[in-house]
Amino acid sequence: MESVIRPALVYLFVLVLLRLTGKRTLAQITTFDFVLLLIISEATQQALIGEDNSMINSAIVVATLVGLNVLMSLLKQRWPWVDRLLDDVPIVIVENGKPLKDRMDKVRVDEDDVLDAARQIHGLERMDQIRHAILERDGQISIIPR
Amino acid sequence: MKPSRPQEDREADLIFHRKEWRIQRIGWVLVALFLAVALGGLFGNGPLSRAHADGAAGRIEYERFLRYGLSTDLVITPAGAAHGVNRIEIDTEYLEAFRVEHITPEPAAARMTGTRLLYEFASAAPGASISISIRPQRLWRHRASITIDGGAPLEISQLTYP
Repeated sequence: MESVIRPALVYLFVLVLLRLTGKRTLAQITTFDFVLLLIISEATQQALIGEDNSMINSAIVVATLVGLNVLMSLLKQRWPWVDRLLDDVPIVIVENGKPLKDRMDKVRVDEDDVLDAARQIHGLERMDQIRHAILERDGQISIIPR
Repeated sequence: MKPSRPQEDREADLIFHRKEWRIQRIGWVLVALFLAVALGGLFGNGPLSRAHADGAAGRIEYERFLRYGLSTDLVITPAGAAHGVNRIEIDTEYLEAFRVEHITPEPAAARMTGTRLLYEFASAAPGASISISIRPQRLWRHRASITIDGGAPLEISQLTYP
């Protein structure tokens, strides 16, 4: 019983926490984000398995996490509002070379982040070469060149 | 001219996909069933796992399903006490499958009687329980016959998962 409840609580906690802190929180933009991800996984490990190192426990924990993820994907498919609630929606942050400042401030993205993505994906150098920049649901910025 | 289709869209592949989806659906149901019985305690730690054996001399509460390396309790409640002493006898063959972590209260004496281990406790208030904390060291089935104060032996059976 505990083996199912523990990972379910951890799943919900991490889901709510990451959703509340914004999609760029762990988007692996810097090396530190990646290291932070590893530290978080270490910290949650204890809460997931407790003192129980048996194989059956790990099987139940993994099945709970994967099962919840499948369940969530089914809910998202069934009800679009669940999808928006859990996964957010993309947002346009640059339009025809003009950064939309107020939006960018709200989602904590600056022009350097946009240019970073523009360089990496399309080899663009200047803001006016960008037609649209969109902050995707996973926190990545996608660039559509002019 | 027929519009060209990507190579990935072959009919044979679609048949494969349809089979795959059906099997995945079955997989989801199996995972859901697995979690339901896990929640119930079929793999230890839940209502399905709790068990007890009752006799005239007392009662033993135990877990039916154990997990390797995870300690569990045998809670023994003697019905009464003769001369202020409670005697609990457990077969040593059963105890070999476990590591006895601690016994609360501490037994006043422990000695071997043939193939059985006898614990003597200075008896406390009636209805007080003796808790034996054991950690499984062997897998699968363990059977014990436990005698409380010389009464009829109570049989318990446990299963340790890996």
